[in-house]
Amino acid sequence: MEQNNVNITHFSVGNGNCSLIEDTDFVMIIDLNKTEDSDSSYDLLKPYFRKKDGKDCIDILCITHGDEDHCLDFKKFKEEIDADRLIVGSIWHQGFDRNVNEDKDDLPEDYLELRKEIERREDIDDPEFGDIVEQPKSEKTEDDLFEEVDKPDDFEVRILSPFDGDDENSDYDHNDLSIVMKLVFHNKTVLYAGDSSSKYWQDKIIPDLLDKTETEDYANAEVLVGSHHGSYTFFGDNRDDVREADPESDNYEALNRIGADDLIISAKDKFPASKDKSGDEPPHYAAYKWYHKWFRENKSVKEDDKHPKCFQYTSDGNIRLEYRNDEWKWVDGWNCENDDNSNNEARKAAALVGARLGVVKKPWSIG
Amino acid sequence: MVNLSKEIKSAINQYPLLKRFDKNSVVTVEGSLELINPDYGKVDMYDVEITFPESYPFSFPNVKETSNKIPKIPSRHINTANNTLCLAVRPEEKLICRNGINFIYFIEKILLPHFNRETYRELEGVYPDGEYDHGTNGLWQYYINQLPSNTNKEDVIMILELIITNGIGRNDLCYCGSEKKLKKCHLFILDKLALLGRSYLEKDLNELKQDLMQ
Repeated sequence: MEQNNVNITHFSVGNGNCSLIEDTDFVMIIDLNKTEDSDSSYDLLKPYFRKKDGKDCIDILCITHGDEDHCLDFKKFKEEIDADRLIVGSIWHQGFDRNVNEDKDDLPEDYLELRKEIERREDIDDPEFGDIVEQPKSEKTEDDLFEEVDKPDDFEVRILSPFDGDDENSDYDHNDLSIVMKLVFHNKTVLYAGDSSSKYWQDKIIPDLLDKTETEDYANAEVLVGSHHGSYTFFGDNRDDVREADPESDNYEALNRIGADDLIISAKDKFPASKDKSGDEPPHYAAYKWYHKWFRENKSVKEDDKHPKCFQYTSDGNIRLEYRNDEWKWVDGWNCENDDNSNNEARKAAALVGARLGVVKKPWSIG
Repeated sequence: MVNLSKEIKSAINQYPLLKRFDKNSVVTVEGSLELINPDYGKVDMYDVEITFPESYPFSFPNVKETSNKIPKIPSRHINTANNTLCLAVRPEEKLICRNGINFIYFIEKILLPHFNRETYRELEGVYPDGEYDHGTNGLWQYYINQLPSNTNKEDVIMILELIITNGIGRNDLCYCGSEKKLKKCHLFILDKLALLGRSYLEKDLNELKQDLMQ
């Protein structure tokens, strides 16, 4: 049977992240950011909200960490939640406050609104769908994560990071401790690396993966959403070291563990393919060097193929995977506006056909 | 009740996302119904909890929509007293169930089209082909719709009384004023409404008369 609403979309949001997971009755959003054409992340995502009790609804909103490029315009979401027009079933967040090292004045407004919403939820004794707040940790089970949320069929989430007890008081910062997770959705595996760093992978994530001997493929994913917009930090603390190190880099092991077929870089630009062109902001040549090397050695990418097809850049447009007729397909040049309108029109027409098959022509309420 | 069990079994056979799950020995069917369009695929999905009133099969089963896609308010055709769906105006339901309704027929011809209508309503903002007003107003609209154009409320009362009292013969002139014999004009409408049965028509007639007097 054809399925129509199962999609994974990574929006073209510059140096930031914003991904959407859709099933017929399920909407999950990972990080908030806006495209060039949209006024806010809220406007960008609103067409994909589902309906529940006549209100807009997102089942899970996951903020991998509180930086502005991952929670942009949460203020607008908060307004809609407070006005009782939007239900966000469960909010996943890092689970600490960023109070210790940072001045409150420096924290982005959208993050402060997120914190307010988290505090509101934490004050509720026996929260139901719409008031759930969850701190994903590597130690947690799916039952913990999906409390009160109806998980779609064939959908699984594994949290690789952070680990219990690591918070703002530890040696790691909020980027290091980004939520890193692997989704398994109708057999498609996608790993979201957040803004996670080499340091945390080396200290915690990889040792933990090595412990999981019974599940060698624990971190295996066909699609890797690269860490920190293609930053060198995935491979080491020091940019020059990463760029010059030869031939081993710290996080090569992570790439081996993941074994991706495709790499998605959610950034304002493509990787610089030479050292000279690399600016301060990611994506960095230092990271490119290692990613390219790994794909050359493991996925038959050619040395002179500077931007192989398996390097997918959101700077080229939204990147979308659609599940149709039991198969996943990449959709090139997918445009959210066109899709939404044409899809809605077709769906409406189909519903009308179904409605007219009935013997009752009009509904009535005894009121 | 033996027949009901059989009906439920064959319905579950055809709609495998439904299951029988009796609560306190009340026969209950619950699960999901998918709206499938052969050209489009899966249009939508609704969760339901279905019970069978004593009057079944001479009235519809009671259906609660449990996926909460439809707001539980009267204007979305929910009977807010017990959160069940209002699927048809009363005389229409009575006509459909006059010889007893079958559960699969109910799902196919009443319930799935209703959910399609709700999905269309969600996307478009209005119901396809309109809707009847709440309460007695909807009842007026139903009878006025059945009768020839230019029928007003007084005509509805007159015609219902004619049916109940057998006050018009096949060879009398038609009530519509066409000067044709009834059998060559609007007899078919009276025949259809007569299927509702005298006692039922009297009930509606009383409600309409009282409403008209207010």
